Amino acid sequence: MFVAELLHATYSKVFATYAQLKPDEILFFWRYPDHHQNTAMKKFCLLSTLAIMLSSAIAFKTETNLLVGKWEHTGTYQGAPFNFLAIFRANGTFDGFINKKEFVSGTYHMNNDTLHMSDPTCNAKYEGSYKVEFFGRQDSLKFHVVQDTCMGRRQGTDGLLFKKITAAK
Amino acid sequence: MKKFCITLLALGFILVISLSAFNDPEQVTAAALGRKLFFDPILSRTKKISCASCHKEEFAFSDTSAISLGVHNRKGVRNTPSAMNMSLQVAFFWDGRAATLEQQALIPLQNPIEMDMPLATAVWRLQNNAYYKTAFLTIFNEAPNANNLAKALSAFERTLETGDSPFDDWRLNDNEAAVSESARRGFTIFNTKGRCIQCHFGPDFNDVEFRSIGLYDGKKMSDSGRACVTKKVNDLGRFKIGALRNVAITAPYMHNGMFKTLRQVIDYYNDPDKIVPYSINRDTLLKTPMNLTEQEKTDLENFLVSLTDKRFAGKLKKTQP
Repeated sequence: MFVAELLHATYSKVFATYAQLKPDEILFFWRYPDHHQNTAMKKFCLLSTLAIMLSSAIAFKTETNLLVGKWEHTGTYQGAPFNFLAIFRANGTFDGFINKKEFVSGTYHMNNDTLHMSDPTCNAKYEGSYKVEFFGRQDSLKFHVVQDTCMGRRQGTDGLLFKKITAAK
Repeated sequence: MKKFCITLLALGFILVISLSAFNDPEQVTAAALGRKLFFDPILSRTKKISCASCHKEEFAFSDTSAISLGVHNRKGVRNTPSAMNMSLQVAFFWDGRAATLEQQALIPLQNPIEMDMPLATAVWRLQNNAYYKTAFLTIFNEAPNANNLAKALSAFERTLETGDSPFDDWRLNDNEAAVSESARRGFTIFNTKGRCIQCHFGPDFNDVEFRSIGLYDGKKMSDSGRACVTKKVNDLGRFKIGALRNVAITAPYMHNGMFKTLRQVIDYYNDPDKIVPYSINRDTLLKTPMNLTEQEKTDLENFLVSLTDKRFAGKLKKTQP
């Protein structure tokens, strides 16, 4: 939020500065960038640079992580229905729940379409890798194991279809 | 007089309707029938104890005694575990001698040091009880027998799931305020330095394996645990890993109930040799002391307390210092 506000303020200042300049002044300063006698133009250059830097930062910051959110898989266990809920948070942590009971928590990161995850039940220092296949309006997904020596996690993840319920923090 | 008669008739009608509403077996499910049976001493030889005598509802269906007493005050051999959160379990009893809840349900009934009730007698009693006879017929389309008795009891036990603890609230709803900062630190210790996660994981914080935590020395501590069932030397002193949900209100702890508080349990795991120096077959996970600080022990304890279902919150206040 802070970054967005700062960016907005910076852009406002850039355009305000820009508006104060006449066309020939702008041309002059583009042609002679070392000329710093005009303080308004100095401001313009500085603020433009800042705006570009902030824009870049925002662009990286808001790179869409489609996995962030709450995902649900439903099935049956011993004849009774069970619900498998996975929460992937924007801060790189995840939790898994069976019938709303937490059963695993760990960390993850995405590299293009591949999920790398680790949890202390398997081994916090070891990452399993899964290709994430999104369907439809990216409201459902399936994990395909790339590599994971943790059998329990592999069995509970590979090939399972999840549907998105809601966004997560 | 006429008014009085009408009023009396009306009251009688209401009474009959009310009674039938409460007693109509058509309203009863297998789980509700199981609950009634669970609390009914009809299933013990002396008709004085029920399943609920040892599995006390207010303590998450566990007992506060190290070892429970059966009929005629006969002393058992192991601590009564909680009967809650059974639906995902794959082995029952400390030694895992039952593979299903249905199998489990009938064993304490027949155990001479527990309810001491021959199965045939239990079934006979139910068949000769008007309520149970009708209820079983309605629900199972047959008279009471060992099979449907087990089904009813296990159906009830499967309803005893708890998943509404402050910990669940924190993780599921991202509600940081649901647990204390100390409990959050405790969760980290649980997953890392404490090594607890190596055995206590899954929705109920236990594994399907049997492990020896070092409470078998062949002398003073001679319960061989899983080896009673498998007859394997490797299983000496191994027991089912206890689930941790509601653990704060299910003291005393371990198969023999030797620890009265969670702090004692944590102290044991922190350095088992200090308490049981010559254990046999202790798991290698407990080979070296954890070297937890007092603060870390408190944090771990607070995390365990946060696994208490909100329905037991009142009980927690009474049991916690």
